[in-house]
Amino acid sequence: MNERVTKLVKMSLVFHNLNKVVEHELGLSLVQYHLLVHLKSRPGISPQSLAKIAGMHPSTLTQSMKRLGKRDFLFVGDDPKDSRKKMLTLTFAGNQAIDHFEAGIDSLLTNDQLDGLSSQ
Amino acid sequence: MKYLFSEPGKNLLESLTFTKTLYAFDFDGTLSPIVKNPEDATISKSILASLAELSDLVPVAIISGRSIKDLKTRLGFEPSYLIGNHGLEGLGSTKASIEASREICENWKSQLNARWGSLKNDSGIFVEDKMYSLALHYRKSRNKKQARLNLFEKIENLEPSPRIILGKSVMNLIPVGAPHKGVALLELMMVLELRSAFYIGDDDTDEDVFSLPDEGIITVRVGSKKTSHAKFFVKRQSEVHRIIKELTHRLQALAKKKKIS
Repeated sequence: MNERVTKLVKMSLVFHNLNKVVEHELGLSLVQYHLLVHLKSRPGISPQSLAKIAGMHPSTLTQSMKRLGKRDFLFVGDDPKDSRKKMLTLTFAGNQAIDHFEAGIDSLLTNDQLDGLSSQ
Repeated sequence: MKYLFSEPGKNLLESLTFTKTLYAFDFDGTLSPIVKNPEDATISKSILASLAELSDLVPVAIISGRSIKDLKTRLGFEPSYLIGNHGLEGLGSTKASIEASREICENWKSQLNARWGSLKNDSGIFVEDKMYSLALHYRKSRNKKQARLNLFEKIENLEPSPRIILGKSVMNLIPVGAPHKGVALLELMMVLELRSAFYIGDDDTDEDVFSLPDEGIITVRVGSKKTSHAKFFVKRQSEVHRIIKELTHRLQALAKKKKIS
């Protein structure tokens, strides 16, 4: 088996586990936090622009948006200028989720989870 | 265009308070109700107090067609930023460009004086000299339609050609190449290193802001208009006070919460 592929898969698994731990402990996965922080700084942004800024594929973003929307962390409304487009806003609960995440992430990232990722 | 106090609008207002945002307001028809004589325009004491309160929390700008000198006499406090003459005063305009605008306006005034003739009989038409731009008012004219036509005739072939922005019973003559309200807002956002701004205005001169292709600028028009580029509207000028109070209330609650935690 290709050694580099093995390394990448191991890295991906460690990251996957880290993401699960972070989500369990802090209520948001790393990717979800990344998205909400970008949304916080750009109220009223379109999903297309958010995907571009966050460096994600629009279809991946849609899945994340659905999950965040179900938890009332973001609001999806029609664009007032063009009803074919959508407009995203962070909610009060979403803002609280960011605060909670930021208060706990540093202590979580100093543990073995992060060491496991860097040793790969 | 959506009503600002609809569910999406209210959500957006709330989300603005989570990030650093510039709050910018037009003066006439927005902070102050439209009056027959522009000299009589004033802001109510309650709006002034709320605006001063908001200004203590976040950057607040007033962007108006009036001169800064004129605006200062109508405000009981100093907002973070005061921008006059549709963006020419109060930002980075060079002395040379300001002087050039003043000379152009002087030139237009002499040309208009020579052509005024028949308009002398209509006491409802008058020229407001804003030093770096001119405003031809006809709100007090008995026959507004005719007054408008007459004014168009008078400003035809002015040298150099002005940029004409039609407002509510007013024609604004602005030197071509001079900045407009949209440029002023973008420049201010750049100076403050902000990606998010809120702007509210009521006039056609505000369309320069409303039509900016920047998703980070939330625009609101006082009064709904199908052809406007604004994203949201409020039904009447009195609702502007409600916006200021809601923003202040939310920002104060957030600041209080941060202090406790």
